[in-house]
Order: sequence, then structure tokens, then C-alpha cells
Amino acid sequence: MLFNSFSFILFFLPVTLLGFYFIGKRYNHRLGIYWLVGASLFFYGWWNPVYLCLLLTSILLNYAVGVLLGAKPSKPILFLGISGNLGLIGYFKYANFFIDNINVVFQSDIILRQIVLPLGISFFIFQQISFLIDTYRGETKRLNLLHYSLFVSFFPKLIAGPIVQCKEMLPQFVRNTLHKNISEYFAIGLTFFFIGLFKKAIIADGIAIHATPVFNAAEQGIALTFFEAWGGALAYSLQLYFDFSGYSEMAFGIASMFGIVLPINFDSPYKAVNIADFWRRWHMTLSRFLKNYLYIPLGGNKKGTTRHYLNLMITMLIGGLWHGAGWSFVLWGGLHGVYLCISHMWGRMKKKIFKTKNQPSNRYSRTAGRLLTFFAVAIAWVLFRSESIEGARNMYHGMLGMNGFSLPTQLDFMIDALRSFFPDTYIVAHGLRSFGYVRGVFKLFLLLIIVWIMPNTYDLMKSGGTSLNLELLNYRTSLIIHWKEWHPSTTWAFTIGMIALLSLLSLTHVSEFLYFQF
Amino acid sequence: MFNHYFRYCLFITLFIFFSSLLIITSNYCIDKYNIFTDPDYLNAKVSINDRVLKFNKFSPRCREFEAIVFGTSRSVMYHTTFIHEQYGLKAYNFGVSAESFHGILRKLQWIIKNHCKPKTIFIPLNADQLLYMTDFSLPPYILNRMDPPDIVTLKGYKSIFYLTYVFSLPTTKSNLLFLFKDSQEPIRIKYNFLTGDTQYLWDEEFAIDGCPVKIENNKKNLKQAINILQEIKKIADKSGIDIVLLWNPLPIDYQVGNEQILLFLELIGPLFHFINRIPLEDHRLKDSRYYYDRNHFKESLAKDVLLLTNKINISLLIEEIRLHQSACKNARLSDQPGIAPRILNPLQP
Repeated sequence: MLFNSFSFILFFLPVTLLGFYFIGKRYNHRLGIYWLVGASLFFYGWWNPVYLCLLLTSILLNYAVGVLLGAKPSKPILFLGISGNLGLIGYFKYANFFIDNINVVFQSDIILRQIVLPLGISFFIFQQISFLIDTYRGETKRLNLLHYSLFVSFFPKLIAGPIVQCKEMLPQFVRNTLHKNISEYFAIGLTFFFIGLFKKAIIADGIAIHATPVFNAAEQGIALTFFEAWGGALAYSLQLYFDFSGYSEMAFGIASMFGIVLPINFDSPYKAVNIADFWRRWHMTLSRFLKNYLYIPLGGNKKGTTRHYLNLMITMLIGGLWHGAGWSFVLWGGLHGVYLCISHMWGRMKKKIFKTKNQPSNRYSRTAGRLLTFFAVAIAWVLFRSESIEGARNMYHGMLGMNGFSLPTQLDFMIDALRSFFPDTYIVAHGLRSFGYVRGVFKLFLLLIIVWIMPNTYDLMKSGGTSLNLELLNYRTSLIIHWKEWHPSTTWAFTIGMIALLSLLSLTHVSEFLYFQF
Repeated sequence: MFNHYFRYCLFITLFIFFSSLLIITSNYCIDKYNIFTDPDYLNAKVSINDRVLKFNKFSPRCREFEAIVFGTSRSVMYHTTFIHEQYGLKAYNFGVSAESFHGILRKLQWIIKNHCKPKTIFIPLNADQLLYMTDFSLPPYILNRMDPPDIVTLKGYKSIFYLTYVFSLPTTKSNLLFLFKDSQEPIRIKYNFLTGDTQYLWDEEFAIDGCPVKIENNKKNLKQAINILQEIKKIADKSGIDIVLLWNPLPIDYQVGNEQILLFLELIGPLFHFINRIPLEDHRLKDSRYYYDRNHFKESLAKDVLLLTNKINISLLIEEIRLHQSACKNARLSDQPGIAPRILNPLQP
């Protein structure tokens, strides 16, 4: 069941909310939590009931290991728990990839039956690994099976994150004010949900028609010209941005309706001034996981420069592989690792030579840093999106202008001038019209302006909801232009109502969230 | 109780409810496409759900037809009158936008299950067929893309279809335009759902290169395509239905632009033996006047594909394509022409 489907919006969500508040108020809080766990399991089982058993088994086994670790921290038990989780994800997500590579290297013909990837497995496995490690470190309080089940299966974040930690969720589950201030929870939740739905249904799906045909063409080996390839790459960068941002806000909004605050997962990443800043803003809870449970245990930046760069590379390669079983994901992670190493080298050099910090100090250097980071990220997304290395190579060929340039017919008058500047390059002015070039470019510019200078939803909402303790999010503002903050007024209600209506009208074509595949 | 948060939520809920009601009512009343009254003939500005509408018209009369033409938006050019002239059969054109082999299989299964028994089915093939086995890049404005044989298994599929029609952004936009500035907007497609024939009313200019930029070699979907075609053949044989394969007369550079299509044709050769095609040296395949756009050929070409004189052994078509490909490779080696851009179209055929 997708958040952006009528069955979810009109049936599942209202019924779950009504049941939760009715049971919680009429009977007791604990029964309400039971209802929520039941609804979450139903939500997961809707997709494929068979894999519900997998989720339940995983919950029970991890809980048992957690109880053992809580009673007596033991490295072998922790190792066993982590290995079990990695084995599960390894089988479902990476077995076919591994076999394919064996076949290529040894010219063998081993065939493994097609394994269907259980939805959200990467997320619920990582959450449980973090639970086991935190329990071993003594950072998690003892919790019962009911709360643990909700921690793993809570449906707003079950399928595509955020990757939550036990210590940030448990206090909220046991809070006895969960069934109070309902209208406030709803007001905030509805606002987040509909803004997220708008981003997904209108913006992300709207820009996808400019990205998908270009990447499909590259996969088929069609020679893409410069503007076509860049148009596709930028369109995909924006599609993914609004898709993930939309999903994150919908998840946040749905959780808020239950009085639960999820950690922020997405903080205007294209406003990042360098690549490290980007990873502090994009999929923040994955970055936190990789940092706390991989990068720091590897030694972080405390074991010398070379080791620091090596740790960065390992972390990013594993981060890449987490996103998908394919060499293009590994390369994507590796490219980001290289970016991070360069960024750190540059920082060290600046510190040494200019005696300044790595953070850009004035508006111009911040703008330059932002542009450089954005284009570096967009170039890397090509690997992320391409179905094969060959497809990515074709895209890069086009982006480097190796297949020539074609311009829209509206720019006919520029052809002679361009040809005199680039005499050896093939330049024509008849292409791209059927690609919807002018409309596509207009959309791209508009969306780039939105992501670079507009406030994000958390900026708008940070003053709202005292009962929800939104200030606990420890959200740092990234306002570039100032905007009137949200409050429950008629103007805001009308705006959100309009946004909601437009989004609902666009749900006739339901598409999956891009992050569901991970 | 009625604090400002409550009033805020109430306002949003009531706003959505009453606006939705207004939109549904007005879309139902305006109903520009006559979906609720008489959708036999439709003049549309956008591609609508031809799957459901064709299915609705075809299903009660399916036993009347002796032949069925399947295929994509290209295949709707094989008008039923041409089939009658050439084969003497009363046909229904079931060509729908972005059709896949899977869609053809599902429709055929439905037809057999409902004892419709056509004598012949026409399956047009595309040189770029292997590109279009999936539907993930379909434009979002086309309503409800599921194939009717799949959705009729859902209880109340008609209600779902009608609800998505009256509560959708494209319908609302279209109806609003109809109210305010209809005469300004040119009609692009004329549908006749009684026969399935369709007319396109656009005409784009574009250049056709004699040779493709690059001979592509993508194995994607090959196995899946062959499996489904085998299944179609099996079902047709069992029911005594003849299959006529048609090779869509796409621009010449499209026809020879894929190495894998040769393998595809080689694999289906023993299954079907013959195919109707226009000879690759025909000058019209290089002339954009015979095309609505790069993806859609005109009726005159479609009519000629059906000629019995154009029925050949599949191995001959393979030979023709191979010859043309090697001529292109030789030409490229000898004079290294500049790389011409391929125009991309976000709308699938």
C-alpha cells in the first residue's frame, strides 16, 4: 500500500487513526499501541503476506538477542545477532548479484531462482542492528516486546525510513500524553502529509517524464546530445529530490498524526555548500547510521590522514551497496567517497595555507560551493539511476558533448555563432522539440530556484506544535529567504486545502516512491 | 474543544470534501468526451484510456468479429476497411497506446475464455519492440493504464474507471478548457470505438537519416518477449486462430537500428514463418511525409503492409535488415558523417 494511493488515504489511514484514538482514550494506552502494531503488520502484509512472517521472525529473534545482550553484554552474542541480520539482507538483496558476478568471473552458469526483495528490508534490518549495538553499549533501556515490535514495524517509517533509533522512539511510545492534544497532532500531521503528497504527485512525477525517456534511451545505446543528456540528468536529480523529500514529509506527517515525532531525514540537501554538508542533509538517518556504526568504529579521522580517507571510501562504498545490488551503486558510492576525500583534502589545504576553516565564509563562496556540490551530486546521480554501467557511460558521453549538440528550433538564430566558436562540433537546431525542451527547461529552472532559495517544510513548521515538541528535532534553520511561518490560520488552511486537492486529483496515476526499491 | 488547531483541520477537510464534490459533479455534467453518454466517436485533444473504452465497446459484440488487430498506437493505422478489402474479414482494431506483448496475451486469453473465436489475429511488430516491454515511463495523464482483462477481475472495475475519470486533474483541466476556450485547441485524435479505428490529426516535420546513429545491441526483454509470443502462438493454435505478423513500416533508421531485433526475428521465425512488410528499399520509408511523427506512420503505408504481395518469409526480412545494416556500417567507415541527433519522444508509441 502506497502513501500516495486512495486506498491508503481514504481507508487505511483514517481507520487506523480512529481505532488508535478510540481505543487509547476509551480503554487504555497499551491497547492503543497493540492496535498500532496490528495495523502496521497489516500494512506490511498488504504488499505480500508471506513476507510478514519474515518481518515477525526477524522482530522476535532480534528481540531475544536484545534481551540477552541487555542482561549481559557479550561480544559473541552481538556478533551472532549482527551476522544473522546481515545474512538475511545478504540473501534477499545480494545473492543474485553475487551469483551473477561468480558466473562472469568463472564463466559458470549457476542459476539461482529469482528472489523477490522484501519491501523495506534494508531499513528494518539496519534499525535492528542499531538496536543490538546500542543495547550492547548499554545505551538502550530495557523494553518490552510490544514496544519493540512498534519500534521496528511502525508503518510510517517501515518501508523507506527514516532509520530510527530505539532511544529516540521508546520515550514517545510510553508517553502518557499520546492521546491528548489530538487536534494539534492532526493539524501538523495533515500539513506535512499534504505538502509531501504535493511534492510527490505533482512535482516529482511531473518532472519524471523529462528524465525517464533520456535514461531509457541511454540504456538502449541511443547517442544523446549534450542538452538532452544534461536535461535528463538534472531532471532526475530534481525528481529524486522531490520524491524523497515528499516521502519523508509524508512519513513525518503520518507519524505526527499519532503524536510521534520521527527524526528529520531530509534537510534541503541541494543547499549544501560542500559534499560533507550534503551528506549531513541527504538521508540523514542513513548517514547517522553509517557514521555511528561503521565510520567511527573503523577509526574515523583519528588514525591519520590515509586511514581517514580509507575509512571514508569504505563507508561510502558500503553506503552505495546498501542502495542496491549492482556495480553502478558501488561506483556511485565510490564516487561520493572520492568527492568526500577531495573535500577533506581541500579543507586541510585551506587550513594550512590560508588559515581558514573549510566552511565558505561569504555569500559568493557559499554560492560557488553550492553550485559545485549540486553539479557534482547530479553527475553522480547518473550512476545511481542507470540500470547498467553501459547506460551510465552513454549518459556521460552525451553530457561531455561527445555526441554533438542539438538545440531547440527557437534558438535557430544562434547556430551560426556557435558553429564559428566550435567548428569541429556537430550542431543542429532541429532536435529536442518533441522532448518538450522549452517546457522542460522552464520546469527545471523553476524547481532549481525552489530548492535553492525557498524555505523547506521544517523551516515553515518549526514554530508549530508545542505538544509535539518539534523543537526537540534540534532542527537548524537553512532559510535563504524569509517566509511567513506556519500557524493554524484560515490562509494556511486554504493553501494546504488547495495543495491537497491538486495532489488528490493527480493520484489517478499512482507511482511508487523511488526509495521503495532499496 | 474547538481550538484553532481543530478549526484548521476542519477547514481543510471540508474544503477538500466540497471541492471534490464540485469537481466530480462538474466533470460529470460537462463530460467533454461523452464517456457517460455515447463514447462511440470521440474527438480528443489528449490520448485517453483507449483500453477501457475499446474493451467496453468490443466485449458485448466480440462474436461479430472475424479478425482482431492488436498492437500499439502505431497499429491503429491498420484500419478495419483495409483488412476487409485485403482479407474479406470483419475486423476490430484493438490497438491501444503503448501496448505490450503481455497486454496482447491477456486480451487473447479473455477472448478465448469468452468464446469470441476470431478466425485471424494480426500482431504488428516493431523494430524497437524490445524497448517497450515495460511501462514505467508512461505519461501520468493517461488514466488507469491497467488492461481491461486484468481489471475486470476486480469487483467494480467500471466504477473505479469512472471515478478516476471524474476525479482527475487531466479531465478537470480538459473540461475547464472546453468551457472557456475550446475552439482554440486543435483536436489531435479521432476515435471510432465501434471499429477501433483511429485517425491522427497532427503532422510533424522531422528528418529521416538513411542510417541509424548507432546499431544498438540491447538484450533486455528479449527472452520475455519470446516467451510471451510462444504462449500467444500456443493459445491461438489450440483455438484454431491464424496469426498474421505485420512488420510496422517505421522510418528506415528505426527499422535497422537494433542488432537484437535480428535475434528476435530469428527466434520467432520457426514459430510464425511469414511476415508482412514493406520492402526496406521503398523510398517512402525515408520520406517524413508518410509519417505523422517519427513514431507513427500514415494509413497509406499501413494499407500496403497488408498486401499479400508483401508477405515474405521472416528469414528474408532478416536478410534485408542485415544488408541494410552492413551498408550503413560500410558507409560510416568510408565517409565518417557527422553524428546526427536522435529526437527523443517522452511518449511511447
